[in-house]
Amino acid sequence: MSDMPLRRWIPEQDLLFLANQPVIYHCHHFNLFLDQSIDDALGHDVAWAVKSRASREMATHLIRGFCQIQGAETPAERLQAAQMLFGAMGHGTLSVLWDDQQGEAKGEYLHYGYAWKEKYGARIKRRTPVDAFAAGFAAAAVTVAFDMPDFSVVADEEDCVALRAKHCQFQLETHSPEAARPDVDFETSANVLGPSITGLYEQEISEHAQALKDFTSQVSGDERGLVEAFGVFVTMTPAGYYNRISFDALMHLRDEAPEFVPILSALLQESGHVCVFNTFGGILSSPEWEALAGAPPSSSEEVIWQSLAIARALGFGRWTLKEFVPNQRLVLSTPATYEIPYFLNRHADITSLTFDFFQGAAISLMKLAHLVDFQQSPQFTDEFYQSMFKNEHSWRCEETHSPLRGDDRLEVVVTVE
Amino acid sequence: MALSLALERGCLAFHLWRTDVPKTTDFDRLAEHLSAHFLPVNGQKQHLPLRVFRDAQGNQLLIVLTTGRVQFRISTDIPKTAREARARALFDLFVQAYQLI
Repeated sequence: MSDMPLRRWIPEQDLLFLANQPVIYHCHHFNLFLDQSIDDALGHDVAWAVKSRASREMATHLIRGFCQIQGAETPAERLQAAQMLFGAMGHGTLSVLWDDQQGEAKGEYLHYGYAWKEKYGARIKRRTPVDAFAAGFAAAAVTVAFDMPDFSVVADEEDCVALRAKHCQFQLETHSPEAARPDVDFETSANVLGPSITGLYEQEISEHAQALKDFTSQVSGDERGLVEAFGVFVTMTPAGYYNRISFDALMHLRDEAPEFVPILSALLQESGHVCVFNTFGGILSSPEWEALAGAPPSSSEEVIWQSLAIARALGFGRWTLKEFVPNQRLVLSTPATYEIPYFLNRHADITSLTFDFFQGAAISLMKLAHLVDFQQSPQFTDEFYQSMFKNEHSWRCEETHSPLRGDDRLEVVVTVE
Repeated sequence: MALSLALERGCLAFHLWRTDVPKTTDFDRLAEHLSAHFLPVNGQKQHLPLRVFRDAQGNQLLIVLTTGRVQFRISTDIPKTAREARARALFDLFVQAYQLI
């Protein structure tokens, strides 16, 4: 039995770890948007491979660490632990069976499929399955449970609720193992990060972030394995999953169709818009936040600093307010986002990489601060989202500092376009 | 005081519904009367001025003790077309409990 704690923070960096693996909270809007962006960029088959392999890699480390903590030693105990972990993280109910060289998994209430059906099912006919994260997780559960070589099982989704099936069904089989990539865990993350920083409204941000961290520490999947909170479906997901699929998709495009790299980069930036609008907007207008912070924010400054507290509590890193001039300028600085340890450990040589999600989130914070009246019960609908981002009052973002270019922090400046 | 129910339009269709009660409401007694239909969610949110309840169908009821805001979260397992009716039924149960205080 390991003495490794289940959930712990690098508190001065606001990075969250579960069983030693970096994890973060995101809502279904972000998850579905990023998932669709990868599909659009690569096509379904390549995207499925990218996503399911990323999930398999991150889940392998996570499940192994979790089994050690739980004292799960037999294959049956390990499979059960993996399935429990999957549901506790808000990803749904997964039942995995394995027999020598092949197996199957049944998924119910899977986060991606269920949320896709809820959001788009009545309007759009989908033609490809959506649960690559669950597929990779099931494959990882098998190799960890049966002490097989890492990354040596693949899973395909044959039935999916997003395709109007009653439940999701996966087939699993052995495959030549994928080469391991450098670990990005608690220790390797801590090793690459510099000193923490503070900024404006630091005390308020820290106090509210801690209160929300305390709150999320008690949130777990319901009997379906879903987390319904703040008016959205929430997951805890390995940060490396998002980082790897974004990076691998960019590299694939760079090699195969470089003219499309800026488009994917723009979509990754928009994923930051989607996240801030839906997750941050949903939290700021929720009863939970009202109980935690009092009346809804009444000024653009309050929206900004409360949003930074939310970012920290979700494990996004020590997002810090360096400068804010209403209607004019926002400077966000951070020694750590959930992307930075990943890129510094794996791709520090690629200095041209930019932090698109952080840039998009910073722009969206300005829109949230200036275009949403939280005193008037704002309606966080698709229509409102579209109107916000087509509004003529638009912003541009410049990444002025980056750890990938030798700086001690990531910093972006948002100004009026 | 006459309570009314309003849709809080969020990103999930017909999911969030709102009513408000006075901040001076005796929330302990309200919780007692609600217990016939809702179970308090144990182990969560106890450090916040927030009461959270669930019913057997997975619908949630949240009450902010400092402001009197009440939110009904209708389970997404209920078809979208049936969520308003479910919200109104839960609201009626809530009003009954409130009137017993």
